Amino acid sequence: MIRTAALYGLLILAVRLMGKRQVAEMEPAEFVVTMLLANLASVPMQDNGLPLLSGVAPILTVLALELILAVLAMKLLPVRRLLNGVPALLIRDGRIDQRALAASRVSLDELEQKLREKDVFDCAEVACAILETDGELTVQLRSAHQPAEKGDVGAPLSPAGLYYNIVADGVVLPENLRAAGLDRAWLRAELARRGVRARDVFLLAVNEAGELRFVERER
Amino acid sequence: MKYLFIGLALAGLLVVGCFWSRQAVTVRAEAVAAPLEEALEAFRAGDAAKARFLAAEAAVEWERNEKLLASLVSHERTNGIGQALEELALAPEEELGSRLAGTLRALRELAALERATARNIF
Repeated sequence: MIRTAALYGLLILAVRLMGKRQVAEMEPAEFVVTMLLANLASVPMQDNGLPLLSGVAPILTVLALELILAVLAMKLLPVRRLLNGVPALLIRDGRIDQRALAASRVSLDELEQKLREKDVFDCAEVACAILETDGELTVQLRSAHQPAEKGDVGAPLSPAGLYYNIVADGVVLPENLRAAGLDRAWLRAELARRGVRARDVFLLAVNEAGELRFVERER
Repeated sequence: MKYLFIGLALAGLLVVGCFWSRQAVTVRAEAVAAPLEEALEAFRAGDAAKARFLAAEAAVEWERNEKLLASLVSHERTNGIGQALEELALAPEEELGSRLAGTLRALRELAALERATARNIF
């Protein structure tokens, strides 16, 4: 149990140090690292005959290499291209680039599937489709096929606003209060108006337009 | 850049750790191997009693170093060597020589496994 907990903690630390991208869409190198870490940790977790160091040392080695390469990839384009490859333009102005498709080892079926997942059923509607280095297909439609926006139809525009959670699950978040340009006096007044205390609040959020979202905690 | 320094520091620490680990295993294995080697020479010279005495010294030295070695080397190997050293005291005379040689070889292999040789890498 102690070995498992130690290796688990080390894995969490390693993934945190490698950054948020590890848990989102992964580049090839990141995918390799994720698989490696899982396997490196599992063997000494299960086999008490192996020293704990035989799991810790390889994990730390992979972590060190990943940190160094990640920074080098960020700073140096050749390193980034070597590790992650380059995006490929598969469709331009409605025409499929067959050479790019073959070079990316993507079949026509796969391309059409990825397009359908983006609600595109006709290649002719696509201005450009790019196969990103993490395997995702980014699609831009030709302007004639793009959905209308509020500005196009003259609909009244309301200020878009980011909602700041001021109280979440009974806990006041002072940094969000400051970021929203508010203070504790405002919060006290708002809670008093509703006849609640902070710990009775499940969610109190406010956006940049001053609109409030309030949910009381269920008892 | 912060993460580059963390990565480089970690890599440096690991390299130093590798050298330390190799040194630690070599020195400690050698500390146990030295009396065993003397025991083997004594046995070959016909002094079985002295050989057993020196083997017992090697076993005591092993006990002293076993914890650290077990944290660096697989327990299968360390348990095997520990058991072999214990059995030396009770080994019949006709087997004493081969057992001494075998245990000595196992100890030398412990140190050899830590070296970055082509055999160990591939």
